[in-house]
Amino acid sequence: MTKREIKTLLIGLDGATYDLLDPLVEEGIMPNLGKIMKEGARGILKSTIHPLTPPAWTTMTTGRTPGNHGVFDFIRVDRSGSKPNYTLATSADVMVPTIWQIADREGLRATTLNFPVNFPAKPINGVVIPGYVPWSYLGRAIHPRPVFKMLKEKGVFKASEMSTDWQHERKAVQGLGENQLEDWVNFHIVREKRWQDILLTLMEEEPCELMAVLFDGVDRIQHLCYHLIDRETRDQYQTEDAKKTTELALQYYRDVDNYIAQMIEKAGPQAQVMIVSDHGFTRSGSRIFYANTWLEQKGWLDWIEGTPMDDQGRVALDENTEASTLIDWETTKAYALSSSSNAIFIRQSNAPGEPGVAPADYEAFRDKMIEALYDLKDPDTGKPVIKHVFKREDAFPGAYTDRAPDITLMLHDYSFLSVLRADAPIKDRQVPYATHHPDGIFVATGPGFKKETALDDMYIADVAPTAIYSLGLSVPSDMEGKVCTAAYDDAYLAENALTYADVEALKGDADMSALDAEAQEQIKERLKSLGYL
Amino acid sequence: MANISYDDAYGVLKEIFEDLEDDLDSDGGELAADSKLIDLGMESISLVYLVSELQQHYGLGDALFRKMREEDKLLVDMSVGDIINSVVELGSKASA
Repeated sequence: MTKREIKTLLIGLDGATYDLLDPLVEEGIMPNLGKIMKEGARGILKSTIHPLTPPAWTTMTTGRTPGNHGVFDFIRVDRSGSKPNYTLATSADVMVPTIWQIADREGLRATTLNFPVNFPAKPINGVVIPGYVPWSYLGRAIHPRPVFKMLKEKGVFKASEMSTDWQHERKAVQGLGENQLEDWVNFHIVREKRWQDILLTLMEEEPCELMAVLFDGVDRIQHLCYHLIDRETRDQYQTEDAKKTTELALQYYRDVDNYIAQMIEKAGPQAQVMIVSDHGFTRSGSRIFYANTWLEQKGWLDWIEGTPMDDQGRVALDENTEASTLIDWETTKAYALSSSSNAIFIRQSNAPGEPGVAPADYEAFRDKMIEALYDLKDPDTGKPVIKHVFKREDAFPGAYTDRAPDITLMLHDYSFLSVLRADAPIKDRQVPYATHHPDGIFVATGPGFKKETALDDMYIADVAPTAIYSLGLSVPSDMEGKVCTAAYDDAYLAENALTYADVEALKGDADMSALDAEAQEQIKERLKSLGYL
Repeated sequence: MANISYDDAYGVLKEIFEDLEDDLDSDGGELAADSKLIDLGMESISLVYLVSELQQHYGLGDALFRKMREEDKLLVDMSVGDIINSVVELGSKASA
């Protein structure tokens, strides 16, 4: 039997931004990426309307917008009971097929490493190691099971060094002291090495036509260390701890650069390579918006008795305590449950006299809230706090709009809101922090891709159909993204006709929804009007 | 969906813990019905993944999480027997 060759290598760098990568290339820290960006095709990849890891990567790997794939946050909020509840979003929440499932259906093999919302693994011919799985469950999470044993025998699988430590993550989201940053960066240096070793091992042992890996330390390190990495600001931080962290963070990027070169070499000259990020990054402003505290001031939320005031600039509770435990559900009408989603949920009463907003009053209530949010000014600066307020039907149109939060905020400094109680709705941030920006990266190299080409802005949903085309398959006609033909040279496009597959023929998941042409057009128009297309 | 027997659900849970025993540094011995899940070596967050896997295995959607919420049960308080009985109960409801 002929050994399978890698056709498509998808390298994810969570949160990578040209704002940092270009200077790092200029400084000689990322020569391999620099060569690829110079000699290949590159452009800005516009993220989902709220640029957040789970919805954005799910859009990247399904070609569908959040309203149609069903993932809006790290958590899934259940509003069906007497009070809201939530649990972690899982693969069961992804209502449409991923590119690895599509490849599998077409008889190809796929490997996917460390992508979010992939647990429990949906079985494919290939290998799935889901991301965001805690160390004590990571081994079990690997599909298929014999691969776990093989990786263990080869000594490349070390769960504690490559998994997500949720308690660690929670602390990190709040910001760490300068003397803790070195450990934080070191953890991710080791972690990425583990994923790299696994990828290279799987390239040898389990060859697949589609190989995809996500390095998410980029995001984690940038959240806390952006100011120490950014050439424009790093010299302002001259303590010994800061200088050590800067050196270590730069080493992290050197390592990732080497890994990119190693992966591409191992994949072989026939492989088309795409290096992508789910969103970009930028420095947060110096203030934190306490959304639930603001809702309390407006008379729309009550805390349970004894809820402490945050005086540490935190955006969420430490460890695994849910914010919902702080809220008085007897009276509350609107609430934010997670910092990550920048979302406010409006509670509709199920019957007269029950808590919440009467369904007949919903639209007026929401409009009033949106108006109040746009009017909100930082008392210290007089500047507006909120840049955009998105209604769910505008931001997330589709089959699963009803799962989306009622409104999603984009703050002026792109930062994440706090769900905690404070003595004022806007307060000072206590440590430097960086946040997600809508502009991610798309870099393409390999046979068929144009050379030395600057691409127009792409939308994150375009990556999935581009990957499917790269695999030589027909693109499912219901994908909302479009193949980035501008990245391909004319000869390749002529020799490899772009074809579309009937969605019905591909249908496998019960919940896979096909949009009619009119609905697709409506979605595109909305995305255009919001500046995402 | 067919009824789920206690023994079948026990077998699935046992298989999961056998897979995890190297990482959990456990001896892979019998899972006693009255053992608290949290005492079997997992982080509390991993119990969420355990429930997700059981739901997927038995095609329960998110019924197991819903049932726990409705009954105000916390994963950290649940025993091996509790979780198996919940799966069995949901299986019998679904097949009814």
